[in-house]
Amino acid sequence: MLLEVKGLTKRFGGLVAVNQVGFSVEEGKITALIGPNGAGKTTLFNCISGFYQPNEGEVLLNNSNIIGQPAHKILQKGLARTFQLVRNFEGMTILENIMTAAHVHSGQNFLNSLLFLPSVKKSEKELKEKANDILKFLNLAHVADKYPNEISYGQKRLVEIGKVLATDAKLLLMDEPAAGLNDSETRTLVDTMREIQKTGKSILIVEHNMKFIMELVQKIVVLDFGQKIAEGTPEEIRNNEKVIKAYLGGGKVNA
Amino acid sequence: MRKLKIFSLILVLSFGLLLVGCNSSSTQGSSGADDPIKVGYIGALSGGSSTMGVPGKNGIQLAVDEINADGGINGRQIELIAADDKADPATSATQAQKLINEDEVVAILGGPNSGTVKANSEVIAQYGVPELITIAMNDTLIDPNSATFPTTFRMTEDNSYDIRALAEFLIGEGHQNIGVIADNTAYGQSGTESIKKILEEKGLNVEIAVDHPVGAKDLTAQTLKLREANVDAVYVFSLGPEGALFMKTLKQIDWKVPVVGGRGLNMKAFVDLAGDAADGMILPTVINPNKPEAKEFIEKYDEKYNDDPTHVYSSLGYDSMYLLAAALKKSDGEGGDALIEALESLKDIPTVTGGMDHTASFTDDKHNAVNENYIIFNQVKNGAFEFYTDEVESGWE
Amino acid sequence: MDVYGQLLIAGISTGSIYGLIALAFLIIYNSTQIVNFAQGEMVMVGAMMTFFGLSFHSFSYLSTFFIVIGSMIVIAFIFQHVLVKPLQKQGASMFSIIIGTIALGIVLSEGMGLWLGKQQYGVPPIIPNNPISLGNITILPQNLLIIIISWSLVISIWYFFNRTMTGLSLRAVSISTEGAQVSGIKISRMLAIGFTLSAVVSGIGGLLIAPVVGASPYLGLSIAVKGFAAAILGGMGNIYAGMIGGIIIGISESFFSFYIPSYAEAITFTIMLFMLVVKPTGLFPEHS
Ligand SMILES: Nc1ncnc2c1ncn2[C@@H]1O[C@H](COP(=O)(O)OP(=O)(O)O)[C@@H](O)[C@H]1O
Ligand SMILES: [Mg+2]
Repeated sequence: MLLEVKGLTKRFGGLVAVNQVGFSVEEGKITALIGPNGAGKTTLFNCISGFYQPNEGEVLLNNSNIIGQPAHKILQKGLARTFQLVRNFEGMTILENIMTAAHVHSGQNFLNSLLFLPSVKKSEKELKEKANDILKFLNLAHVADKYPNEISYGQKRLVEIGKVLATDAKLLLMDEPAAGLNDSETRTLVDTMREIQKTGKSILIVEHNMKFIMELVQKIVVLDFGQKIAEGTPEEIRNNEKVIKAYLGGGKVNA
Repeated sequence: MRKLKIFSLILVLSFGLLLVGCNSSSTQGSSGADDPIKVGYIGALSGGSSTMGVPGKNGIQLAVDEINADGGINGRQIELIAADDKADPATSATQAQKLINEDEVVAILGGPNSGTVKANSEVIAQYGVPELITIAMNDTLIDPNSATFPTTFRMTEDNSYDIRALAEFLIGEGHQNIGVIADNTAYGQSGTESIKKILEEKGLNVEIAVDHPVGAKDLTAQTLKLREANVDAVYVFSLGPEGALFMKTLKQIDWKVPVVGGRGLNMKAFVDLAGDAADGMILPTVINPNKPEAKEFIEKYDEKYNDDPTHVYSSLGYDSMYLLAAALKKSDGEGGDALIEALESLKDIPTVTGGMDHTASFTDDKHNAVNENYIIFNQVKNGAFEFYTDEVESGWE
Repeated sequence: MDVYGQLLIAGISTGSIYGLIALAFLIIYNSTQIVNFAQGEMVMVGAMMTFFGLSFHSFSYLSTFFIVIGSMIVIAFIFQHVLVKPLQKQGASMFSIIIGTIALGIVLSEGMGLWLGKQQYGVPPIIPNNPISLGNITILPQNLLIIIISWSLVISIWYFFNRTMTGLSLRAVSISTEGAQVSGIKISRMLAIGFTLSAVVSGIGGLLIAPVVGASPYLGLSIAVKGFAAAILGGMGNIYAGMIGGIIIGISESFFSFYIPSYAEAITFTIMLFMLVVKPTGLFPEHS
C-alpha cells in the first residue's frame, strides 16, 4: 500500500475536525476524498502532508510513519500536495514557478549558487529543460515566459499541478483542483489527470464536482463531520445510504 | 521553548546591564575623622564624549592615588566616586543628587559636556556643594556672582579664551576673511556666535559660517560654500568625525586653505579618520610636552592608562584634583562654605597644563583657575598631533 | 560648473550608502515581512568590527573583511534562531517580532559597548586620501569605493534573486510560504540565507562607512533612519528600489545643503513624508 492513514484525529480546541479516520491509497490509482463543506477534508490533507500535527494516528508512506516530519521532508519522500487556493509565485515567470519546485532535488546550496560554479550552471540548465518538458506536458509551453497575472485562472490551476509534478513526487494530493473552472477547463483537467496517472503516479483528490469524480477515480472515501462514513468504488458510493443522507442533510449532492 | 527562555534571559540580562550602567559604583556611609574624604566625578563614561570623560576620570584617579600615597589630606584618604552621565543633562542632574545625598561627597568634579555640567551645577549649587569643572568650556558656565551657580569653579579655560588666542594667531598669519564650520547643535551654534563676536572685535571679518548635522556623512556642500566665499582661513568648530570629514573634503577638492580648529578636535578618532588630510591644521591645546612637569605627567599617565593621545583631558582631570586637594588641605577635609572659601583663596598653584610657568588661582570674583599664557598650539603632522608653539598670546579680556 | 558635479558625486556617494542599508533592510522585509529595527545596529556591528580588526589588532583589510563577514554570519544566526524562530514557534504576532528586533538592536549596542568600549573611534580609510580626478570634478578613493561596492552588491543581489535557483526559491518563500512548502523548498534554510545575505550586506555597509563617520556602538540609529527613508521612497515592495531612493535622498541632501543650508535634513524628510501620504507604495512598486 502506498499510503495508509490510521486512526487520524485532529482537534482545534474543542472542535474535532478529523475524528479517527483511516483509509488507504493504492499505487497507480486515483482516489477521491469527498464530503460536505467543513467535513475536514483540507484538514486531513494538511495532516498527511506535514502542515499540521495531528493529535492522534499514523500516516504510513511506503510503510514508514511520516507523522512529525516537516513538509519538505515528506515531499522528498515522494508526497506532494496542492492547495485549495491557487498559490502561484506572483512576480516570477511561469517557467520560474515550475523551476523553483523542480529545484527541490538539486541541493539548494547557497554557497555554490553564489560562487557561480559551473556545476550550478549545468544543473540549472537541466532544471530548465525539465520545467519546459512539464509545461509542454500541461500544454502551457506558450505561456512559459508570462507572469501569473497574465494567464487564465485555468492555466494558473495547471501551473499548481505543474509545480507538484516538478517535485517528482509519486503521490499527489490535490485539494479541489477544479474549483472555479468552467466546463471546458474542467475537461482539460480530467484529461490531464488521466495523463498524469498514465505516467505511473498516484493521486488523492478532494473534489466537489461529482461528475468529475465518477468519471475519473477508482476509489472514493467519504467524510462527514470529521468522520469517515464510507469507502468504496464510485458505484458503491453512489448507492450508499449514509452518503446520500449526509449529502441530503447538507443540501445538494454536489455540495 | 528552551530557546525562547534563553532569549528572554538575554533580554533581561541586557536590560539589567543598562540599569547597572545607570547606578554606577557607590558605597554608603557617614563621614568620621578617619573615614576617607569622598569626592564625586560626573562625566560621560560612555557614548561619544567618553573619549574625553574617561581620560578625565583617569587623570583624577592618578592624582588621587598620588595624593593618598603621599599621606592624603592631613592624614585622611581621598575616595573618588565616579558617575556616568552618558552626556545626558537629566542623568547628570540625577547623578549629582545621588552623589550628594547618598554618597555624601564634599565636592564634585564636573566632566566634558557643557550641557550636562550646566544641568548638574544648578543642582549642586542648591546644596551649597562646590563643583570644579575639569574639561567643559562653555562661556556661560562660570559666574561667581550669579544666583544659579555661585559655587561652580573651573580648571580649564573657556571657549572665548581659545578663540581670542586663535584670533591673534590668524592676525599674525595675515588672514583677514575667515570662514567658520560647526555642527548645528547648541554647542556648535553658540561656538559660532562667540567666534563671530570675538573675531570681529579683533578686526577680522567672518565672511561665512556654515553648519551641518552631527553624524553627517558628507560635507561637500558646506566645503564648497566656504570656498565660494573666498575666505583666507577656516575655523573648524565641529567635533572629531565631522572635523575629519571636512579636512578630507578639503583635500578632495584640492583647496589648500589654512585651517585652525577648536580644542575638541584633540582626539585620536579625529586623526585616525582624517589620515594625512588634517596635516598642517593648527589646534589649541593645554599641554606643552617641553614643560618638565607636563612631560613627567605624560609618562606617568601613559604607563598606567595610555588612552589619551593628546593628554588634554587626562591632564585637566589631574590638575583639577590637585587644585581641589590644595583647598581640602586648607579646609581640613571640610566641605560646604569652608571648602568654597578655601578654593577662593587658592593662589599660584602650579599646573601640569598651560605654558611654562603657568599657575592657577581663584578669588571670590574669579572662578576660572586659568591665568595668562595658558594656551599652546599643536599642529597635525602625518596624522598625529605635534607641538607647534607655546609663543601664543592668550589671556582673559 | 564643477560645483554641480561635485555636489552630484557627493550625493551619489552618500546615497549609495543609504541605498545599501535599504537593500539589507528590504531583503529581510521582503522575505519575512519583518521590519528589522536592528538594521542600523547591524551596520554598527560591521563598523565596530572594522575598528576591531584594523585599529585594535592592526590586521590587514582583507583579514578585517573576513572578521566582519564572520561576525555578520553569527548575527544572522542569532537573528533567526534566537529571535525570530522561537517567537514564531510560540505563535507570536509580527508586532512582537518587530519589538524583538528593537530589543536585539539594544543588545547589540550595549554588548558592543561593553566589549569594545562606548567611545567614538576613528577608522583609517581603506585607500589613502589621494583624490581622483574625473574630468573637472574630484572624488576621494574611499567614496569611489563606496559607490562601486554598493552598486556591485545591488547588481549581484539582483542576479542572485533573479538568475539563480536559490534566489528564486527565496523569492518564492517571500511570495507564498505555503506555496514554497508545496514546492519542497526548505523554508528555514531559505530564511537563513535571507538573513545571512542581509546581515552581510549590512556588515559591508559598516565596513565602508566606518572610515567616513568612525565607529561607535551608538552609530546605528542615525544610519538606519536614512536607510528606512531610502526604502520608503523607493518602495518597500521592491528590493532594489531602495538604492534609487537612497541616491535621490543623497543628491537632494547634497544640493539642499548648498542652496538652503540648515534645512536640508528637514526638506529630505518632508519629501519622504509627502511620499508616504501621496504614494505609500513608493516610486517603484514591485513588478508583477
Ligand atoms: N486552523 C484551523 N483552526 C480552527 N479550526 C479549523 C482550522 N482549519 C479548519 N478548521 C475547522 O475544521 C473543520 C474542517 O475544516 P476543513 O478541513 O477546511 O473542511 P473541508 O476542507 O472539508 O471543507 C471546519 O469546521 C473548520 O472551521
Ligand atoms: Mg477544504
